[in-house]
Amino acid sequence: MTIIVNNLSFRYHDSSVKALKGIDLEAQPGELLFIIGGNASGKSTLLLCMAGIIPHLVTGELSGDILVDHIRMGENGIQQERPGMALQDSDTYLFEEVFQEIAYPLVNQGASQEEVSDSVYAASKSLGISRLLHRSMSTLSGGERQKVAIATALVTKSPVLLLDEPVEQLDPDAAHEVLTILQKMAREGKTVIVTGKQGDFARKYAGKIVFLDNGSSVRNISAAGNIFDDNPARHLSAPNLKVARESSCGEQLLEERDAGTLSPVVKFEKVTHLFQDGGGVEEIDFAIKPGEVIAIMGPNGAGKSTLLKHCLGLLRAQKGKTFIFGEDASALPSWKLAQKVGMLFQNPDDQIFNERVDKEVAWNLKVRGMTWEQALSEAKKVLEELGLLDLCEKHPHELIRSQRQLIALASVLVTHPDLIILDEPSKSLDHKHVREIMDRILQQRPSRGAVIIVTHDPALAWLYADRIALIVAGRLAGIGNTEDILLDHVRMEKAKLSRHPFVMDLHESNSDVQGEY
Amino acid sequence: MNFRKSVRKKRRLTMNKRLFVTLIPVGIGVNIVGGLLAQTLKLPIFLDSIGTMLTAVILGPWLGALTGLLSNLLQGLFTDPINIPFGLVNAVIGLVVGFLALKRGFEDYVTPLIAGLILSVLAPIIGTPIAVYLFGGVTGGGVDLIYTVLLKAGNEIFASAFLARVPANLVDKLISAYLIMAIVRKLPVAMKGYAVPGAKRTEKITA
Amino acid sequence: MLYQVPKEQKKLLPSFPSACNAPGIGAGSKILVLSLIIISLFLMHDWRQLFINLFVLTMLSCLCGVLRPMAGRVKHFIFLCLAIVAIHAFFNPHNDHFIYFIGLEGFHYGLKTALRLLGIVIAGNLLLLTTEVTVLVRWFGRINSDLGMILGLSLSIIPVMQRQMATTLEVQSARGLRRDRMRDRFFAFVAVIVPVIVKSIIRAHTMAQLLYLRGYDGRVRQERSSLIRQDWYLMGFGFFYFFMNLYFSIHL
Ligand SMILES: Nc1ncnc2c1ncn2[C@@H]1O[C@H](COP(=O)(O)OP(=O)(O)OP(=O)(O)O)[C@@H](O)[C@H]1O
Ligand SMILES: Nc1ncnc2c1ncn2[C@@H]1O[C@H](COP(=O)(O)OP(=O)(O)OP(=O)(O)O)[C@@H](O)[C@H]1O
Ligand SMILES: [Mg+2]
Ligand SMILES: [Mg+2]
Repeated sequence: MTIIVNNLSFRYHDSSVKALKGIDLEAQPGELLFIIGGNASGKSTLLLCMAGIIPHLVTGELSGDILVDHIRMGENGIQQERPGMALQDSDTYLFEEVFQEIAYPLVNQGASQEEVSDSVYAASKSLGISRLLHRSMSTLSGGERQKVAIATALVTKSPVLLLDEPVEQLDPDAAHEVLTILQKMAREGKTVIVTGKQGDFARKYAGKIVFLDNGSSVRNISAAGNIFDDNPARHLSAPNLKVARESSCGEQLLEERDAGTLSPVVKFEKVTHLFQDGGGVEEIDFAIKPGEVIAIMGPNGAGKSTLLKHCLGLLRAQKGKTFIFGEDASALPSWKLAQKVGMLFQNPDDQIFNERVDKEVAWNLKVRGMTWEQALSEAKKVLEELGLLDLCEKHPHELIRSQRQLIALASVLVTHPDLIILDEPSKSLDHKHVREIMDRILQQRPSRGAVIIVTHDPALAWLYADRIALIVAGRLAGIGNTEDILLDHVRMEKAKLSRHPFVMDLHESNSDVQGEY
Repeated sequence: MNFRKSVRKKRRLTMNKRLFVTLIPVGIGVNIVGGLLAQTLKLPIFLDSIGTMLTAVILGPWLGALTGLLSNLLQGLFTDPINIPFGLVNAVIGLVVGFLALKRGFEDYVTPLIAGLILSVLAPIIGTPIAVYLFGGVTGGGVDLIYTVLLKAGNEIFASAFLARVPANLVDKLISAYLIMAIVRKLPVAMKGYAVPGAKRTEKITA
Repeated sequence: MLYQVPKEQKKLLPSFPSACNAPGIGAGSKILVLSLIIISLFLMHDWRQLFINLFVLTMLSCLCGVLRPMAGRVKHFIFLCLAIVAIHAFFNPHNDHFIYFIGLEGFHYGLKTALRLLGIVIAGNLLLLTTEVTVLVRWFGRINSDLGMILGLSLSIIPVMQRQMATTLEVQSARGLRRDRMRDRFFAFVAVIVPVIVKSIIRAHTMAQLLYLRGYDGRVRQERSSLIRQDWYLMGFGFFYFFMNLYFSIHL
């Protein structure tokens, strides 16, 4: 089906600015259309309009029209048939069991039991999740859940596929697989529309790229040329390889550290925590030195999030020990550990409960016994540093997700923790925001502390990490200097990172260099 | 005045009609999680009907009542089927809170007081006959002590069972109602549904 | 076919609200029989009849092979029943005749209530132990598809919310939340329940979008359920049981 968007504008009913301002766009069957843009640029809104969720379920002021096969889209979305769609929030699902979740759209279409089982198995097999079919959704890792969401979109065989950031939590290999499947489906004659924050993937897989900037200007860009040289789109691409990495440690600290005079910030000693139905971490053994930034990378479901929870006493090791600044973490209550460790969780909504932004940030100090006045003035300071001062009086839930994530970050930073942990910061934030917060953190990082970043984005590790620890299937698969690890073919393949465009470029340019010599 | 009405109408429209299919399960979940959390934190009260109250505030009295009924039904199916008849009490909680919220919103200090006071009498009026018929008035808790004392003093079974329940209910329902008020205040406007009170809030919205 | 579907996986399908049929005795006839049993228990006022009923129900659970789990569920009601008998024996205001200090009227009243309570508990659990919750939920879905969907979604959202509560408790502890004093604990209740509620409401909105996308429209998509022979036997037994008890309730 051909989808033509004509001068489409939309304003959410409780918002004063338009989320979409006169969008024109055309999607042909047979091509993979990538819509890229930074946070709050209106990608999700545009897809919701195409799916008919706006105006059917979400109200607001809508103008312009969407033509599907030259027929104006009615109130009920794309004719009778619903498009196959994966929403951005893959943590929300309908049923407990993975099988049911994927099968439900088919059951609703009145398919027979045979058909349902066959299609579900075919779809899940192509995404490599058939072994998860009988797990319950709530025990899956973030990436595994995202794959399930994609499977529910693929299973219906509808001619239109809309996928909102399908690869934001996937490891590069899985992302490659998903995007290849989508390319294939497009070639088979479907209309496939994918959104994303990362230019890298778009450049490699898209048939056509549309760049969305602040809900307004849409520019069609051909995938071939080097699109990211023009200004507005630049922040979406991985940094240029020639950008010099700054060493983030002070010279003196480096010397001290190498002489071994400083005790490690975190020390994992044969940490083992295995879950009943598979997954978890096993015999993890490494230390994080003061002053360093370490990236933890690895495939989906490898146990990265599980390992981090040990630093805060949220999980206790079944075997082995975790030491934080020399103290055994399992012996201390979480709130005590929280005085030294600040963690930015994957989802800011797990914690926000105050009705004002500044109160939310100040709350971290308030529970430590500070008075409201003092706490609020401290909070203001941090918010000002992060450039969020004008949000002070807003309700956190009226902000967009990236801003909420920044507020959660502010509430971590306000207590000046020595160890800062970021769990997939680039999941909901675009490059620009991630770099802003990383710069901020590195600026005010206490010299003896450390920063841990969990990420699937090698570019982020390249820019900021001193070392990389690879975790594969619950075990430590390598740890070393960033360059060494990222340039190591074998390890990259094992950690399912080798297919990331950035890593491929890196290896390519490196082999060039070697060729020259 | 007219203006306020239109704002209010607009807000109702923004809550999609079919949303109740997913909001009622949330209410049921809040009932269960609230009770669980009160236990986890070792609070001395039950707090296991805040989900009903919340749905009643957001979706109105009738769907609030449905939430109460269904949440006892599900708890009955999972643990003790004997919970099921007490769903009536839970439904009445939904009705009372729902109508009050429709009339006056649920964000001032007075409405929770009214709700708490009404419920501390109404809930036992419905609950007592069920408890007397099923359990002879004994429910295996601290209330039984008051019950026996009242019986011993020569009161009728129903009267004693009723009177024994009022104080505990008064505390529980009052605290629950005020908690709901605190929670509703912290909700973003778009989620409040029917809980939009009078002029004050409206001005805030449009400002 | 890309993949051979193992046999046991096909069984999974029935757990959808209002989708396909489960094999075996229908939930509907079981619920009918349960209501007949409970109505007859309400009609009885003689402790001997109640006692015999209790015995029959116990035998029935033995027959269904659920005696052991039944014992586990009934266990904590035994104490309650003893308390009912004791309290009424000693303190019932209608006590006129006494053996030592045990009032006969109160004792009778307590005994009847206790026996009836046990009967109801056993009958109710008999249904639950022989029928999966999902099957019951599907039965409700037959009455009304919205109702079935609400119950079905509750089954999936309750574990999510429990986990969410645990997560939020974790996260707030990580931010420094304490819970030693009573005041702190009330405060902690709000600090945990508010994010759980807000997130669940957001989740409800997203779930509504998902329902729309997956083609749910609130229409009843009924499949005729056919009664098998066992259903008729069971219902026949139910009515026999009911009328027997009715007869004795009137004549005793
Ligand atoms: N439910 C909503 N109510 C009000 N405003 C909204 C809502 N959802 C989005 N918006 C606004 O619409 C604009 C576009 O948001 P949208 O979610 O489409 O961006 P996005 O490109 O998908 O961003 P992200 O990369 O963070 O997913 C934002 O300014 C946001 O504030
Ligand atoms: N509470 C739990 N119960 C059972 N299994 C679990 C639980 N939590 C996580 N797992 C399993 O443990 C494995 C590791 O999960 P974890 O969340 O640590 O992965 P991850 O490395 O963070 O992956 P991702 O990159 O996808 O977020 C997964 O296979 C997951 O299914
Ligand atoms: Mg989006
Ligand atoms: Mg993770």
